[in-house]
Parts: sequence; C-alpha cells; structure tokens
Amino acid sequence: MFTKLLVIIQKNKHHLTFLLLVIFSFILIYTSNSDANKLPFSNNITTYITSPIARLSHLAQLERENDILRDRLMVVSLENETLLGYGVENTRLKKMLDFKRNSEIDLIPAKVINMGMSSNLLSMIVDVGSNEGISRNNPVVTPAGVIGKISNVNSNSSIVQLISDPDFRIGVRFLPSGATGILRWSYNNICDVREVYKNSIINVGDRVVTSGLSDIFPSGLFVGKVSSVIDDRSQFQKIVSVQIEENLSSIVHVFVIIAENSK
Amino acid sequence: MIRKYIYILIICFLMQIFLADIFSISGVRPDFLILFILYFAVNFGSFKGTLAGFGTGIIVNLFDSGMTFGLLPLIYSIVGYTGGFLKTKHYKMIPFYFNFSCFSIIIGSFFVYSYFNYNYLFYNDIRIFLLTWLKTTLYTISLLAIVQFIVPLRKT
Repeated sequence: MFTKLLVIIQKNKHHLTFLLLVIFSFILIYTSNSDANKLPFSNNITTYITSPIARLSHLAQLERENDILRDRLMVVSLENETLLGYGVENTRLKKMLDFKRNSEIDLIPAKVINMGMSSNLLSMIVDVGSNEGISRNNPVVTPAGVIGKISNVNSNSSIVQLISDPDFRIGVRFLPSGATGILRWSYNNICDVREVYKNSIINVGDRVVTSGLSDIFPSGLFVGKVSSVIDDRSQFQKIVSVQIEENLSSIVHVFVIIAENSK
Repeated sequence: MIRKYIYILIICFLMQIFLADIFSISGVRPDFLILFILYFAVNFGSFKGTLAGFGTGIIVNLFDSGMTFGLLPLIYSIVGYTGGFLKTKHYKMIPFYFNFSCFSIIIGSFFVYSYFNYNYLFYNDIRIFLLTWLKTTLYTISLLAIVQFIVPLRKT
C-alpha cells in the first residue's frame, strides 16, 4: 500500500510539485504586506550593483539635461518675475485677511538608482536613506507633482512606491471647487479619482492637489489636471480622470519631503 | 548542461537589472527571465521547470522593489510547469503548433500577472485591462520571437 503510494507520488511528482508551489505562492501573495516584504540586504545589493551604471547613465544625460535646463531657466526667470509680483500682492492680501502661514516644507533632493525589475513600473530606488533623514511614508515629488511615497528605508537608499502602483492611494482635492476624492492609478498617465460627491462642480483642466486629509501628504501638493469627468446616472458618485504630468519612466531626480515644519 | 543554464540565468538576471530600463517603452519592460524559464522547462521538463521557475521568482522578488511578494514565483512556476510538457514534443509537433504553444504559455502567464496587478481594472474597465495586458505581453512576446529566430527552442 505504502509502496503503491510512493509509486503514485513518484509518477506524478511534477504535478504535485506544481500544486504545492502554487499553493505556497498564493500563501505568499495573500500573507505578504507589499510595503514590508523586502529584505534590506537584497535591496542594498541591488543598490550596490546598479549605482555605478546609474551614475554613468546620469553623466550621459547631463549635457542634454543642461541644455534643456538652460532653456527652462529663461522661462522660469520670466515666470519668477511675475510670481514675485503675485507674492507681494499675496502677502498684502493675507495680512488683510489676518491669515498666518503656518507651515513650510523641507525637501531632500535624490537621484534615481534603479526602476525595479518588474514588467510594469511600480517602484524605484533612490540614493537617499535614513542617514539623510528619510523615513517611511515620506512623500516623493518632482516639479511636475507628486509621484509616490517612501515605502522602505535603508541607510543609504530608499524604495519609492510610485503612483503607478495599483496599491497606491492618495487623497486629493479639486481646485477651484474644493471637492475631494481618492486617487488611484488607472493606465498610461491617467489616474481615476473616486468617492467624489455627485453635486461637485468639476471641469476638465481643473487642478488636482493633495487634500491633506491623511497624515502622509501635506495639503496643496500638485498631483495633476482633470482630463475627463464621468457622471453616470446609475452611480451615486462621480469618477474623475486625472492626467499626471510627470513621465514616470524617465525620472532622474526627485525630491523627498522629509518634514512639514510648523512655524 | 545544467551549469550552462546557471550561467544563462545569471546573464538574464543581470540583463533584467541593467537593460530592462534601457529597453523600456512607456513604462513597459521586457521580461528576460520568463524566456529563460521557458527555455529551461522545454529542455528539462515540468518537474525541474517548476522548481527553477519558483526559485527564480523568489530570487527576483527578493531583489525587486515593488512587486507583490509571491506573484513572480507563481507566474514562473506556471511557465516552468506548462513549458515542461513541450519537452519531448518538439520532435513530434508541427513547428507552428509548437511555437504557438510557447507563445500561448507566455500570453497566459502575463494574463495571470496582469490579473493580480490590475484586478480592479479587470472588474471596472475590462477594455483598459486588456490593453494593459496586451501591452505588457506583446513586448516579451516580440522578444521571444527574436530569441526564437536566433536560438530556436526546438534546437536547444
């Protein structure tokens, strides 16, 4: 009887192995916390292997980037002049309203070392870590808006969970209406915002910023612009599509917001 | 023989780390390792293919930074298991059906990958889900076609 069983097992070992490993994979999938599943040593090895290559590729990009930056500097200088004027006007108006600015943001610049190995872009590794004061859940931004948050920190590198990760959520506010909702990635550079009240007035082109309702993202960080609004009669809420302005696959530099200091 | 495949695995792994970004098209990257598992399984059968797939998946998951842990072992195990059934078949099967089977294995495994990664799209907007799946699959399928042209699976 036992021998017969052994023979059956031996005959079907490939089926049994497959079945066992599939079950084990499912257990891993459903028990692992996507934020806490990375072993620091493997992440350090990846960083160690890829950082010299990343440095070389950064050097190659520097000249091209320099030309683009020079052009942008000119544009930004002109814009700056205009903004300075607005700033003076803003200060005067705030004083008039007795409004006190109570917060400012501390930014740490970081370079992208690696974009992960999966077929889709879900995360990246940056060259700053706990030594630079980075901690878990710090928001990560670029001049084009929010792109993710820190999900894991090592001493000299950190993993950024990108906005393109299907598990990523962010509370957002539409301007000028002030309506709020929860944003998640959909496809390409489009995100869907759900939980938006049906009576909110939202138009294509409206700015979308962080709502500040969570502890992770401070309010007012730019996220994207409204590209379409779905107002289905059969649904109690609106679904708003938001266009992210940053091209995630070509990011080289990012900023990590390490603190929002109260004045 | 197995040593040759270990070297190829290391090369594929390094290519996945260094070259996947360079070859990425609008955020979609080729998966060199899935092709390795397929080649390995076709040569060594389902048992070794499944084990190699699972092992490779675990290693990549440990080194990768953003994927659900366990998803790659599952997908690579499926490729290893199903690919293994083609082990002795490539002498008997019509080349078209043999190649079609290889492509189907990759397409099917990417469907599982996309389902786990984008299952909210699967239930909310099937059209975008299918587009995302096809976009991710087509790149690796094209790569398989090129690799098949250079090193045909039937002759490995």
